[in-house]
Amino acid sequence: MKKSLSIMLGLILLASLLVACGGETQEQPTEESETEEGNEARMVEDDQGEVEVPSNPERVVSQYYVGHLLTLGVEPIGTLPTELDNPYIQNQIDGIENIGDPVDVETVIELDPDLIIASDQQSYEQLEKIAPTVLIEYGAHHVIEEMELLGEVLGEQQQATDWIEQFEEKGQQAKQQLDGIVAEDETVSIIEIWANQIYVYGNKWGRGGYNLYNVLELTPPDMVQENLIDDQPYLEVSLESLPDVAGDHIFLSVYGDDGGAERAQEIRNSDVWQSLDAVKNNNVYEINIDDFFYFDPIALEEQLDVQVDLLLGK
Amino acid sequence: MKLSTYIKQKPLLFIGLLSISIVVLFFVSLQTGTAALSPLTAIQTLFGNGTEKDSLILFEFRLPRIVIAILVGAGLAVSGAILQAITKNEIAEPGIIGINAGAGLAVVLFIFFVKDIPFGFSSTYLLPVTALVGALTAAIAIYLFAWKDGISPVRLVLVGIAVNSGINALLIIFQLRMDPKDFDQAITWLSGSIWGADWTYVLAVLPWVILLIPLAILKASSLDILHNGDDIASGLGIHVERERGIFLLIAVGLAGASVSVAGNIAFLGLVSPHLVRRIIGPKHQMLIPASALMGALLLIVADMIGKNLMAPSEIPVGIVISALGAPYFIYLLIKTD
Repeated sequence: MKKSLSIMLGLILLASLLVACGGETQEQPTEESETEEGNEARMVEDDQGEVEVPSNPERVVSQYYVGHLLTLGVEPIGTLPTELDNPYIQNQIDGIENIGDPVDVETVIELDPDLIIASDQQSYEQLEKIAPTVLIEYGAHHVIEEMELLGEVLGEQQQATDWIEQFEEKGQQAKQQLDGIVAEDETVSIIEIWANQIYVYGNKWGRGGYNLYNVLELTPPDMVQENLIDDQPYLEVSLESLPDVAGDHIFLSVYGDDGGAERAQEIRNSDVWQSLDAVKNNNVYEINIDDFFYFDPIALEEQLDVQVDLLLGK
Repeated sequence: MKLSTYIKQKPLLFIGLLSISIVVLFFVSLQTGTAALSPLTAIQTLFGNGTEKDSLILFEFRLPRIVIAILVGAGLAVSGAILQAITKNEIAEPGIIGINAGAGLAVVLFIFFVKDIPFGFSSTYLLPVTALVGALTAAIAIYLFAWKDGISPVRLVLVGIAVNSGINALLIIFQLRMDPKDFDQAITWLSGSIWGADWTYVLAVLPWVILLIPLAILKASSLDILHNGDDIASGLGIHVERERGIFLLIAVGLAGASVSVAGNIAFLGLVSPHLVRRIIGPKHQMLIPASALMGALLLIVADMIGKNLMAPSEIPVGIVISALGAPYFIYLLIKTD
């Protein structure tokens, strides 16, 4: 009795496996023919080394980097749902499909891309089975690097260079406008309040950090310089440690959901907060988290304008 | 006579029904998904006559997921059944007594200390092994703490729950000290999901399930006797401590292997034996294979729901199981009043 049960179970499993193994050789040709068809292939560099991509990709699926792609003149055909919420590109995203988060590989297959831009390792492993895929890890590069990489990958190097030059120009102008507003020895920090946490950002994770520290070249507090500049994307800090982290100027954002707004109010009324230099000198600038969430080229330019205005006291 | 009484007398019938259901759901699952694949196309593709695109969808993405769902579902269910027997506690399962947490902690530690190994290599080979080692370590810790001239089932459960809390506390500490990106990676890996399952994952868990479940079935009569109490068991000539230890190892092996590829799917090990016991009674010779099948069934269904309810986004299968399992649990509590 028991033996036949085990045998039955084993057979069912074995059967499904055999069928699967029998069919596996089938999907080998897929990769080759997609790159041979029409488009010549080129070798480009991504986070993992050299990858072969089509020369003129026309159907691009990109997990992130929609702002970057649009700036380079490429409209992707599929992206993650958060990208579709980017407030600065709402008028340009008609026709871009939602590929789900985590990525739904079947949706991507149905879109029939000729190039996929993956932003994390796990997704990469899934996506590379579908079409030529490059890996550009989200949060591992600055926007300038990202534009250069993407320009290479998409064959839009000139567009990338043009934008980089123009953005650096804009940065220079902004610096001139702000001359004297923030003293040489003053520091600037970015703080974000949630219901149960307080975060500090550097130049790697949105909230306008790249603009402040790399473009405007403002000085971060020591703790930020050590941990969050070109290093970790963000760190959680305690209320008590705020004096060490706050700096002379604070860009403050609040994640209002789930009690964040109430917590922010609590903190604003607290002794620790009131005793901060930045608060006493009225150098706290409130930024909207939804607007400052993204750090693609389009968002950065818009955010730079906002930041300059805030610093100028307008 | 009542249907339930009838089925109780013919447990093989029930097992047969479960098997058929799994086969049916197997084929149903093969042709559900955001990419359209009609039943006929699915079967054609299965036997090697599909288009390249359909073959890609079927063999690279859908099939490994279903196979993993079957293996992990069976593994966790049998692990739960064994633990419920040796602790004589109907709410025991690898998640509650800290075995899953142990596997999770090992994964987090690994990611924390070993940063530069390319993810592809580690996720395929090292993380599953790490998870298993973690599960085993947790089990050994529980066993040692619970030892006092032998292991009483009650102590085993209580110590397990305590160890579970301890490990979860450690996990929180690591969350605070880790680079947030690393911890995100650990958490997605741990949170009970079979997104991204491929054949290497299948290979990681297959040997454990294929070896340990039949072993458990062969030893099922010992489990029945252990369940009756230590004194009776000793009286009947069973080396109680040794048998209990062996069964614990089997449960840990199954749970560890399952967690290593699918993360922490709680409740499955608890609910599957429960449902089955009510229908075919407590004899483990039938209970174990039936639990395995029920676990596989539940996980296939949960995965189908998770993948398709909010397409293109996906609800992790662990959450679906909890959403289904919790109400059932409450129903049980109400009924046993």
